[in-house]
Amino acid sequence: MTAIFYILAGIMLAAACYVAVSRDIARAVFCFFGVLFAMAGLYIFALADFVAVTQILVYAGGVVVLMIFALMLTDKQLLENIRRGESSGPRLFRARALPSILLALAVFAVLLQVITAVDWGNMAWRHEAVAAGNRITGHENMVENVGVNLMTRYLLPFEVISVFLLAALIGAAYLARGRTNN
Amino acid sequence: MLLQSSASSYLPILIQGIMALAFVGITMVITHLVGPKRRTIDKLTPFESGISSVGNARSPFSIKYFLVAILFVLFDVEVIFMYPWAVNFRELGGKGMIEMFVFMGMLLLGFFYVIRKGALDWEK
Repeated sequence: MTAIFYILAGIMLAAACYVAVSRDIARAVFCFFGVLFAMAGLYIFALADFVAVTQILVYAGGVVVLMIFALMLTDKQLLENIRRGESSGPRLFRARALPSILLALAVFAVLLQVITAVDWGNMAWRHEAVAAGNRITGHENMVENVGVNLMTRYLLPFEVISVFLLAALIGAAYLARGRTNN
Repeated sequence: MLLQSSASSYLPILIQGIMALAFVGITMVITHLVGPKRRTIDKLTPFESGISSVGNARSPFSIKYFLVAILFVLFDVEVIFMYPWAVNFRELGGKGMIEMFVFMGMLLLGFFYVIRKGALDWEK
């Protein structure tokens, strides 16, 4: 089981590195698909079944398709002109890439700091939750849990989501076809 | 212990995925190894329904395709919220049904807007 976790994490990191380094945007999008898929596997390890299903259905199935469509809308000539402007200088470490590398390193430093500074075994809220019996054992059906809570305790946010989706739907239709119609 | 009990229930899906990938890979490798190779100039030209290909494949597409993709993602998100409801369909009963219908009604409203707007009208 642990081996599968490391394989998934390895696939994800390798694909993510390729996305960051690749100069070909089409290949980067396909590798991004790999990142999202492997991430769904990691969500299962985190006992978040519903998030894993969402990840595959919405992100791997929908958002990547959206990205490919966005790629197809672009002009190849324009992309090549931008690429030609960037191609001066050494290949991997261009001066233009320096801010992004620094930012990535800064985020990594913060994460490292959190991992080393937090005493994972002795957090107060964890002891409180265990004492109150407010925890999952890993044998529950997590999707059922999400469903019951969504329909009772978090009903208002659930219905607000539908309004939010409605706004996105109208916005998309208006932006794409608004000016051609009355 | 805790981790194994839940993640291991997904093992069949993992095996199925590996089988599917392996089938594709093995089929490709075997046909490549077994099949005869006679490369002629005519065979190596790009084939486009018997017509010689014209122009570049990477020309900008119409925005209509993108709109269809966006609508697909939005309804995809709707379906993902139906999934936890459908799992508990019996327990939630009539009340859950009404709640879900309100949710779907909102999105249906948006769908009617899209239809009335003519956004899915392909000819225009």
